[in-house]
Order: sequence, then C-alpha cells, then structure tokens
Amino acid sequence: MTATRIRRCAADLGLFLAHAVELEAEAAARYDELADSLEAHNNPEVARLFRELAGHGRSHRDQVAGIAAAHGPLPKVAPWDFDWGGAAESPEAPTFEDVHYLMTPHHALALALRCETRARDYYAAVAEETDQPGIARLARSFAEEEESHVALVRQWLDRFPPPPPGWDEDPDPPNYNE
Amino acid sequence: MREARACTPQDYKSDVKPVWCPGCGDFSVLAAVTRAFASMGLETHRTALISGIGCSSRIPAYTSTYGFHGVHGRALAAASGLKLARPDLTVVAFGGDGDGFSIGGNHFLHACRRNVDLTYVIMDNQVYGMTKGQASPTTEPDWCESKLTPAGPGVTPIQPVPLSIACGANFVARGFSGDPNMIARLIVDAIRHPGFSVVQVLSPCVTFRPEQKDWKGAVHPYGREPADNPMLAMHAALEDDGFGVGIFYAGNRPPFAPQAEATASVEQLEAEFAP
Repeated sequence: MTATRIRRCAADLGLFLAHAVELEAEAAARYDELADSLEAHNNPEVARLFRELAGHGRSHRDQVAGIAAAHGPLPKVAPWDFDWGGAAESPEAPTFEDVHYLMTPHHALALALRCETRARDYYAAVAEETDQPGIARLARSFAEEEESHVALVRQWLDRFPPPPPGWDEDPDPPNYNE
Repeated sequence: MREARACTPQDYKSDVKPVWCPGCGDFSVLAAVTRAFASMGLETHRTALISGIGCSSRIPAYTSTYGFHGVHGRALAAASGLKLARPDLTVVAFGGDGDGFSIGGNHFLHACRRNVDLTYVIMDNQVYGMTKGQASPTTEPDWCESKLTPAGPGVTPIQPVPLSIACGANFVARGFSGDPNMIARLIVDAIRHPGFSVVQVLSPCVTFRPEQKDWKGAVHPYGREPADNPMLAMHAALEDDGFGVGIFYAGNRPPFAPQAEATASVEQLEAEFAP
C-alpha cells in the first residue's frame, strides 16, 4: 500500500469521479502520443505496443466515463488543481522523459507496469482514506481493475526479457557532429 | 481574449504528429499549452501561436489554433504586429533559447520594453538542438561537448528571468517540463496578465544535453510571492540559482496598445486574398 495521502477527492464523489476520468483519459492520450512519437522515430514494435496500451486505456476511460455520466455533471477541475498525492501528473500517465527512441518492448512494458501499479495504488489509497461507502466501493473496484492490468502487463513482460547492455547504442547517432 | 465553452486539451491538438526526439521536454510544453487553453476555453479561431525557428518552434503545427511558423528570431515581431492589428485575439509566441536570445535577441529586448499584451514561452534547453548541438546564449561557459566550442563557450550565459525584468516585461515566470500542469497554470496566468509576459520553461534536450535529465532533482519552488516592484523582483531573481520555478514578477505597467483607425476591415483584407 502506498503511503500517499489522497485527501481532497476522497471526500466527494463528484470530485473522485472527476479525478478518475482525468486519470484514465490522460493515460490513454499519453500512450497514443508515445505511439505517435515512436512511429515517427522508426520504432514500430514499441509503437504498436504503446498503441495497444492506449486501446486498453481508452476502453477503461470509456467505462469510467460511463459511470461518471450516471452520477451527473462533474465539477470542473483545472489541470493544476487535481490532487495526485504530490505527483506532478496523474499516476497512470507515463512521463515523457521515460522514453527513448531505441527503447525495446521490455522497457515499454516496464514503464507500463509502473504506471498501472501507481494507478492501482492511487485508487486503493482513496478506498482506504474515504469515509464515504459509495466512493470506497467505486475506488476498490477501480483498484481491482488496475490490478488486473498489472497482472496482464506482468504476463506480457515475461515474454520480453531485458535486452542486453548496449541496447541504446546507435551506430548512426543523431549527435554525431564531426 | 475570449473564454467560452469547456473544451478538452485534445481539441487544441492538430493531426500533425510531433517529430521531437522521444523524451524531449517540449512534449510537456505542448501538453501544458493545450491544457491551459482548454481550461480557459479559448476559441481556436481567436487564438494564434507564433514561432520562430528551431525544435520548439514547430509547436504551431501541432495545435489546432491559428499559427505562424515564421522567420528565425522574428516570432516576437510577427506576434506583436498581429496583436496590435487584432487585439481581440489571444496571441502566444513560442521559441527556444537560441531563437529568442541570439538570433531574436534584439526583438526580445524591445518586445519587453514595448509591453504589447501577448505571452512569450521560451523552451530553454541551453543548446541549439535542431542544428545538432551547439552552445546557445544560455549554455554554461564550461560545456565542452560541441566541437565548435571544445573548451566550452567561455562566456557568461544569459539569464532569461533577470533579463526579462530588466527590459520591462510585465510578467515573468519560470517552469519545468517535468511538471506540465504547473506550466499550464503559468501560461494561463501569463495570458491573463496584461502586457508582455515571459514564461521560461526549462525543457531538457535528451539528445544533445542528456545530463539535463538531472534537472528534475535540481528544480525547486521559487518560494516567494510574485513581486510587483521590479527592483525587488530583480534582486530575488539574481539570488535564485536558475532552477527556482514560479512567478517572479507581476507588474502594473499598462500595455502598449495604440488606438489607430483601421484602414480596412477584416472582410476587405480577406477579400484581397480570396482566390
């Protein structure tokens, strides 16, 4: 269990759902952006993987958005007002800086595993902190969904062991300036 | 400036895919800009992004607003002209440290003192990345990785925040690409503040300055309230180590906005360009 304290969104169902929708939407969009980026840099294998992860993300985003729609209008939250327990961005979004143009499927899946784990821990923390049964029930179910993603990514990782050292050596490097 | 219906950041992205190196800090700035515009509900047809030349200056192509990917160092000249001719538009200029402080250095000085109501976002990676890694005006004097300056550039780097305050910019802030939500907030504050606003974004170049990944551990909150007195702001900015993030200065100088009679309507101008 993470030590992160998630106070604001654990106190209000609308606020919690607004956070959940943002978390899922941002993850899906980010995986698509990374897929685009790796396509542009001629790494189709990892691009396909990111695109597949984006697809899973979109599916979960739509599922959460459907639940949120049944709740009614959600509060409008500015990007900087989301409470991600001290993190700069939502827990499931891979950070831009964690990618490399020569990265392998192993690196992509290791990155995805960190993101899915953070999302699971985030929802679990909300479930633990809230005193509202409705929020606790939803947060637990979202945490279980994320846990299933964690298990799935672990299975995929088994198929892609770490590459040998030197995976990032480029015989035609972009910064060769002789 | 017009703020209207609620939008999503995706509404402000174009179909053009960025060609920045994977891991580049500029991706975060693009995310921040689209989040800022979405939170303000800016109308895409009343918003214009103007840039110069360089990696970061590609940003207008990646957004769905109006944009002009202009001439090297001349983003602020074009942006100032646009804002003065069309004060109803939200105008945001973008560029890098080379475009802004070397090729466009003279335009930068006078844009600060002119104080037209627009925002300038400088994506500062302390290197010319598009031309494969040469020292820029903000590069440290002892950076020796370029064969053009094997012993380092050896000259004092420009400090964008104090320079902006000294030249008369009315709002000066610094952000870090590792926190795109904070950059989004700074951009919103910059756009809403009257006059010329400067937002320096520390945006690592992972290809030519891989050591800049360490910036994540170096940045820290600026830790003071924004000053409205330029002398106080300058003193604090000079004391800062270059990694403090936040708003340094929010002044009260009225923007330069001459009241001139229009010589032609927008419709008449459009008719001239009609096929």
